[in-house]
Amino acid sequence: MEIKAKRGDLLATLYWTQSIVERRNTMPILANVMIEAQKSGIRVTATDLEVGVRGGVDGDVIKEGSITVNAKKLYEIVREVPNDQIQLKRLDNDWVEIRSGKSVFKIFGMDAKEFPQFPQFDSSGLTTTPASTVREMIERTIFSVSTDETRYSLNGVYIEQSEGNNVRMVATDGHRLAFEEKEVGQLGLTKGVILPRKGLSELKKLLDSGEDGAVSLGFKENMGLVAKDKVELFMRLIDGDFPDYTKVIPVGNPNIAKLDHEELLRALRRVSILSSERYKGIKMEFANGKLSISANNPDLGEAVEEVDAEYKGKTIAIGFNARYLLDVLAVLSGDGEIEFQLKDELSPSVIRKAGVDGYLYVLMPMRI
Amino acid sequence: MSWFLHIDMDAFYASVEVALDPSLKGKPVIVGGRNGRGGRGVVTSASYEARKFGVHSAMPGFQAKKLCPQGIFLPNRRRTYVEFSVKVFAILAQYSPTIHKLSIDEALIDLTGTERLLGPPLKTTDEIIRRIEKELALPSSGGLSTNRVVAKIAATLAKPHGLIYIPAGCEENFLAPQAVEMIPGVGPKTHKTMLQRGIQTIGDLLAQPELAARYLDLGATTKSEQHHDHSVGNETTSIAPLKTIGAMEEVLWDLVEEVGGRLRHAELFARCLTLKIRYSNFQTITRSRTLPSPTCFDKEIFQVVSELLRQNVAQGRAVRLLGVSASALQDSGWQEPLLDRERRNSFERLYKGIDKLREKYGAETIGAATPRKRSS
Amino acid sequence: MALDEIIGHGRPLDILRQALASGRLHHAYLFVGPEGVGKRTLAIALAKAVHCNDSAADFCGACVNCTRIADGNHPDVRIIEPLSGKKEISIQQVRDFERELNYRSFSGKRKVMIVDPAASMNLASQNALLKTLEEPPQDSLIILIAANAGGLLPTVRSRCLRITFAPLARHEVAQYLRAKQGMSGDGVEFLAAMSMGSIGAALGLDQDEFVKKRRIWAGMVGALKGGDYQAAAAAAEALAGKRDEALKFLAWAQSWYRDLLVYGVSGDGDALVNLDMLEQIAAQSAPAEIEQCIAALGASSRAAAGIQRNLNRRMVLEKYLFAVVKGQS
Repeated sequence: MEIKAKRGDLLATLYWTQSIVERRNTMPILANVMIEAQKSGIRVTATDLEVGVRGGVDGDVIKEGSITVNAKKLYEIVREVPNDQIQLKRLDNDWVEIRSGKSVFKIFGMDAKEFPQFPQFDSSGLTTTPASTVREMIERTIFSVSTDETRYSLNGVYIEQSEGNNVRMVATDGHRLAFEEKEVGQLGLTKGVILPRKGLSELKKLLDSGEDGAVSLGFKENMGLVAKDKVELFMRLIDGDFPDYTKVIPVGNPNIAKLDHEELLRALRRVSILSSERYKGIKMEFANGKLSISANNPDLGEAVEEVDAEYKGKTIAIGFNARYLLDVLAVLSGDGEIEFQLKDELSPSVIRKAGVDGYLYVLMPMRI
Repeated sequence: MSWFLHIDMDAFYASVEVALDPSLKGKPVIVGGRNGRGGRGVVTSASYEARKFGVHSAMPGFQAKKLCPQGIFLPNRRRTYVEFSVKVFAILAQYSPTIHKLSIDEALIDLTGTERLLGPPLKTTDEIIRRIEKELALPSSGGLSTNRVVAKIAATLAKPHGLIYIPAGCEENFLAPQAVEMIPGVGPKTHKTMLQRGIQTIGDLLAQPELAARYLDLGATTKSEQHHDHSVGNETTSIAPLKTIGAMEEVLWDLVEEVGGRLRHAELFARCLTLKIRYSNFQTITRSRTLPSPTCFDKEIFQVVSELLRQNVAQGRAVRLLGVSASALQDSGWQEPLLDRERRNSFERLYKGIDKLREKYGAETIGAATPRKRSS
Repeated sequence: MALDEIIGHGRPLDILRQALASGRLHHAYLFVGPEGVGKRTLAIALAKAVHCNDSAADFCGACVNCTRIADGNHPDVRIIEPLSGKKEISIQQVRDFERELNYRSFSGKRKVMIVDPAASMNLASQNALLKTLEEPPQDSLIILIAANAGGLLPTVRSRCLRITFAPLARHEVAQYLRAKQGMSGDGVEFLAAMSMGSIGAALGLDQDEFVKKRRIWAGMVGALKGGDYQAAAAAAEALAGKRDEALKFLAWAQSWYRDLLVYGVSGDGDALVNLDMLEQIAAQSAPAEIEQCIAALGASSRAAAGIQRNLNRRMVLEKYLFAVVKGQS
């Protein structure tokens, strides 16, 4: 294998790949990146087995072949070399020579055959959609993913094909649930799958970078793939059954309250200062035309705040974790009305935002 | 120095009825025990006037009727009593941040360190009892001591409508002449064994330090005690050593029902459950688990303790004692789970029903209605 | 390379071959047997047989999957062992491993996790593992490796299918040393005999060094007279210094009493381990001492087990040597 590339091009791709290489060092080869040179181009791959990143590099292939080398060292070398042109060459016994101007480095690599293989996706199996759509869906669900490591099936966002080209993403930690349905395209999924949190946050980083543009998505048995620009991101899927979320979303909660987003957010922020550090419990009393929010902390004191509300239902005093409310208000940011659909003080409430039709948030109350 | 005030409402349900209808004042008011079917329910509360006729709570209605034909029998209005209870606790909360709700009508208030703010504990106690009477028209009794157990015994002796103050250092003198059965935790069975050993008064018990340590911990007034949560527990020494998981689980069910029932009666939920196993050679192990959502439901408690049993019991060894206890008790302040909500809701309904039936017909009858049969 | 080429362990191999052929592998195995007999080798062979491209229910040792497994680079095969410099497998390692099991398999075949030695998981780690053993994730295969099952929670043990490994026969160890290590000469038989059926032990012995030590030990044990507890205490102190040393001494002591016993009963010099010490053996062995030799054999294996469990070495050795002294009075 022998290639020639511009330092900047190589560095950009190595930056992506070296950030995810395995740190726990459970498998020696995971500390490496794989460099593949083929007629079709140069590709660099890294993985920690949970997530894999493959990036293309512009450059000349002098001789086809492949090799793996230590990701950190390669990144540092490429970053520090003085010349803009870099040449990489595989020598005997898996050594790699890196030349740039007058600098020559020789580091030893490992046979690329041992590197984990990611499935091949052909473009016909992928669906293309605006990057902003996917980013928004991830952002509005991922915060509800459980951090309880013993409940693996809740450690990711569930994704499934809905009617037509609609796709649903659902996340829950057992206390609240975030749901969004949007038009995305055909993912080729016969059954829903669970995308791990780690893969999704890497994906979000990818989507946040560069121009908005379009992304391609697709799935294989054990893997999800997202491609944007020249980078492909593989996410290994979580094995397990996601709970039947349709049973959890209440239908027809009779008491509807409408509140101004900004006003509610500010009131919640202030009142929650006096809620207990651990449970962040606040009390919300919905009564004719108004909502009063209060918190009581035996060590500090109490806070009460009133917010105007469009509300005609029965008076309901209900406890919530303020953090859970602030979380959803943060991802639904922007002017507008927040709608609470309530049943009673022990049943889950639904929270929605005017103008964000495909989205809903189910929140279980606290006992107060 | 620690100060504990034990407040016990006098004939609580009956007193609430009197507070709501002052014309009942001074009359023999009996709550419960009339439920339509020929008075087969049991008395849940009797005013002191009714007690003069020999009526007491847990007595079958027909018997109460016989003893006190002129009694005014009223139906249970649990919601109303709970409302009053909340008001009582709201008053108590103004005097101390640390209040242990022992049941709907009983509380332990930690007055330690309130002297600077509120004045001497005795004055505070007097004020509390007077305020409950003035604001809610309810009589209560109090016991004030440096020790929580002594405070409880004092409150019981002070009834009705009294206050007993045990100055620091006088605890043993006060306890010595009292009967051992006054000690919370000394049930009829223990009482009988003690009598057989010639122990009648607490003084007799204190003369035998190693035995006293087991039932009455007077040293427990110190700091460690304050960090301990109040807990609800129960244990059983089985006569024949148990060898199979099945037999152990039967015993566990009884313990769980008892603990669950007591939690629900006190309107408390437990966040931590503990299982105690003692083998035939007296080796004892305890294993605890903290729950994601507090519970008071038998079936959930059983699921946890039987899991602890299966994970920890040594196979093939005979077990002679099992114990279940619930701690980290709370009545509010946690997030309810969303995913198993249906199940929890149905438990709430189920156990409300069971407890109601038990209240009516006694614990034994309803044993069969617990999920034991279904789980086996 | 294939399962057939593994030396010894006929029964464990039969069980696993059958399970592989019928596609009915259990989700968790516990391999129990003396150190160095080949439990880990067989566990890795099993992982290869699960993943091999070329042979069904066996492995070729040459395909990309077999090579990856051999190099520790297979994404679906993981060995959990104490990190370098640590004695225990940490609870974090167990949690990481459980998390990995909950991802879908990379290759579509079983995810294999080998824990070696399983007893280096402390109680908390074992308890953490319990949940995974109770509700194993799909397509997982967990292999726990232990010298004896005693270091594992009963609840962990009972959730695994146990496969017991016997010490290898002397000729099997010799066969291994010749075939795989290219050894030859008289030394091979001696090492094989001294290894007590453990290839690991055979490879750990330095032949020349060992011959010297053995003479010292034989002199030491031979010098213990009935009632001389002071000499026994001094010997214990001398031996207690290094764990390895103490274990080697006890292994040798077993071979020594075995030789005394064998020679005492049969008078057959060829069956001895300490072939070159025939004279001393002949001198010390007498039919009347059979009971004593048997007792000393048992005591040496108990003492070795005690040291394996990290009991105070000096006390274990003292107790052992005192028993020997007492036996000779």
